[in-house]
Amino acid sequence: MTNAIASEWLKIRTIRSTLWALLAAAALTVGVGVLASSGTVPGTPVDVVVSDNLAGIILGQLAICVFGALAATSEYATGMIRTSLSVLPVRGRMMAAKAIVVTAVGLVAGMVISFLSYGAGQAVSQAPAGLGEPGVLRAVLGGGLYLGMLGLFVFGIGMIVRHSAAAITTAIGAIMILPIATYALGENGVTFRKWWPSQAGQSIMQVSAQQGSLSPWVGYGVFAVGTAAVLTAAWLFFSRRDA
Amino acid sequence: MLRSVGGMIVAEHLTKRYGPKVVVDDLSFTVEPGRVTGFLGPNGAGKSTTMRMVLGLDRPTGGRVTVEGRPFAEAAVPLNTVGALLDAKAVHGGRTARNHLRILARANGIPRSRVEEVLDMVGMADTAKKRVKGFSLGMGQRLGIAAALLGDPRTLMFDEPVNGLDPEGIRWIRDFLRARAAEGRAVFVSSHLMSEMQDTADHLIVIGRGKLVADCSMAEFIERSSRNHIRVRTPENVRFAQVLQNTGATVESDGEALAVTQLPIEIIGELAARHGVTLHELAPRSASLEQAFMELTHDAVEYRATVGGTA
Repeated sequence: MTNAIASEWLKIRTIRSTLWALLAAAALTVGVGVLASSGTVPGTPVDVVVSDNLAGIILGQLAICVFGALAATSEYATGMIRTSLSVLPVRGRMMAAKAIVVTAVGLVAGMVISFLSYGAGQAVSQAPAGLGEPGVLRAVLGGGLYLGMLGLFVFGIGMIVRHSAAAITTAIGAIMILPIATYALGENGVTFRKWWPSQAGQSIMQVSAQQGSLSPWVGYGVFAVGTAAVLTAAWLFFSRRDA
Repeated sequence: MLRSVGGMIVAEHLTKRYGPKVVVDDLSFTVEPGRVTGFLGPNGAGKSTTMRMVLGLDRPTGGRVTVEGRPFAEAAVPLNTVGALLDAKAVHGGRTARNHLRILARANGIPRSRVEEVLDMVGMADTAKKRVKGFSLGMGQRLGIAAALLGDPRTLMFDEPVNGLDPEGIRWIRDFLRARAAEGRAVFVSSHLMSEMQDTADHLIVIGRGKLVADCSMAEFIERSSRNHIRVRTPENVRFAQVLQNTGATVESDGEALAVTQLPIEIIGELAARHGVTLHELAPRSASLEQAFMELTHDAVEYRATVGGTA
């Protein structure tokens, strides 16, 4: 298993798209966070301040989707998957190794991005929100946790659809378009957004529970369950399909 | 279950269906160590699908195939068991040749130094830093061979390895495969051209339309399928054909000359002298192996029935 993980780590490190996607995620998140925070006036409540500092994550997550999708689909686009499986024919081991590497890279990148965004936001904001204040540290850590889980979630989608463009489109549809579309559904839409895994997962980034959202850890738990479901489906396909 | 003791690859009633289409049809064969086994068949005969099933990339619809007595997925060290080159293009173009090999080596716990060794072996030490994307067909092929060699495997399996190579490259691969077999390894190599196998393979497995057509030694194949005949040209075609047939020979005429089988050339000469037949030509001819192969797989070629509608 160690060998499989080391090999997957080398794979993800040696495709350029990984670095570009993560840099884009950082630039988008920090950029939007700075813009949002620069208008924060003194006396703004702490939860709003942190929410402004991390506002860019909503945009930066698009690049994380690209990272997660490509971790799976780049092998299919090139046919590399057949070469990979002929040196690592135990499919469960390969998929687990990939998932571990995607999670690790996504989490580390997510944490760096979230803390950078918070720091930059604080630097330009006129309202301080120290990490020592209740819920702030958890919210900033939550930004990293959310992005880490998202990468894994989209990786699962990539393993199912196997095409880069289709995977990225599906992921963006699921995490951004669909929740927006539910605003047309009124009360039902509120319930949908509350429980829809990616939306629920975003509550971990809130300093305090918001109206219409699950509490931070419950929401994140729902996202984890949704991700587990996607990965289970991905495994059912990956273990049975011809490569 | 009974297992062939010496067989490195053993296929038993291997079958693969895609919907209603049967690509590999109840195929059983054994690939033995110490020799080159040629896997021959027209394009679309099911060779690549069979090889993918050996590695577990494709799942058989029926039957099974084992490597060293067990499914390939259970191999202790896969690269040590089978070194395969199925598709030289199945590589991420954005990686360098060296990184590609390092990834594969790492997956099997093979040290980095071995990567440099195989790069040297295939003459790629200088191109190892280049991205695979820009590689020529021949270079891609060499990279694939390097990958197959990483684990110093007991079985080598190559799918159409000389496709698109220049004569020098073809010779290089042929010598290479023969040398590996001489070391005692099993070498399983496919081709759709008999001519590529003629000087390479010791043993032949011939398939057509997914079915086994022949499984025999190269010598046996030549013996069995060579349609050697004596070419006889004479102004008295019709009369002499009758004379020959009366002695029990089989005679075919193409209008210009007679093709005689089952009668030694000396006897044909004597018969001509005895009957006062003028001979313009009397010569032994041997059909090419390519021809023999074509005839063998003729009935099995997929498109035959649909061509012209008269076949």
